[in-house]
Amino acid sequence: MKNKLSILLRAGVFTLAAVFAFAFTQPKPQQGPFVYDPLTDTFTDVSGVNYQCNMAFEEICVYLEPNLESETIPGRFEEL
Amino acid sequence: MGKSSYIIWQSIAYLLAFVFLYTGISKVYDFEGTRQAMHNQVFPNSVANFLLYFIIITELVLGMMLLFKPTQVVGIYGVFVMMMLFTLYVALVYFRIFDRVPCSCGGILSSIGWGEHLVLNLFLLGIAWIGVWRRGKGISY
Repeated sequence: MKNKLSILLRAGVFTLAAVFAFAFTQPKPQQGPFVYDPLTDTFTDVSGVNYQCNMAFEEICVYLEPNLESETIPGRFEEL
Repeated sequence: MGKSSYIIWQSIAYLLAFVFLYTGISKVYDFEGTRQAMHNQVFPNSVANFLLYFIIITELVLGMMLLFKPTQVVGIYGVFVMMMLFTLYVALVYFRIFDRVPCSCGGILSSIGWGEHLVLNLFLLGIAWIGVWRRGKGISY
């Protein structure tokens, strides 16, 4: 009886943890690329948008790969 | 061992098991979000890649260890060490030791700030410390 209770308790803790994890987590789908605006410190998802980055010393846009591993590319965001 | 001591010990083990399994499973469920959050932290990308898998595996393993009596003692020590490291990192971020403040982790904790995260971590560290202390007094199953 004590053994069964112990097993039920363990299974209950594991199940509860899994239920809470699935209930309170919203998976983030892979997105990007992103355009970073340093003035507002925000990222804008530009996936599906054709754009180019032109070098312009008075305007700066920063391009990052979604995996955040590439070097940032300075330039100006222009929608084509 | 008295019944009340046994209940306290098991409660501590199961509570910490719940926390670690919850965070581990939520990290796996939102792996992409976890990966991005890890890369957004203040350490280099190479360290982030290593920690991404290390933390998830460690959380799940320690969580499972705390559920079974033969491994509960080792599990509680492991949880205590991990909580110390997590709390130290959160404290360093909160007190602006690093040059920037990155975003928080996933799950329900993504809705709380670094200050609240620090308080929660200190609470859990205290729980883990009680578990280690009681083990040191020879109180276990």
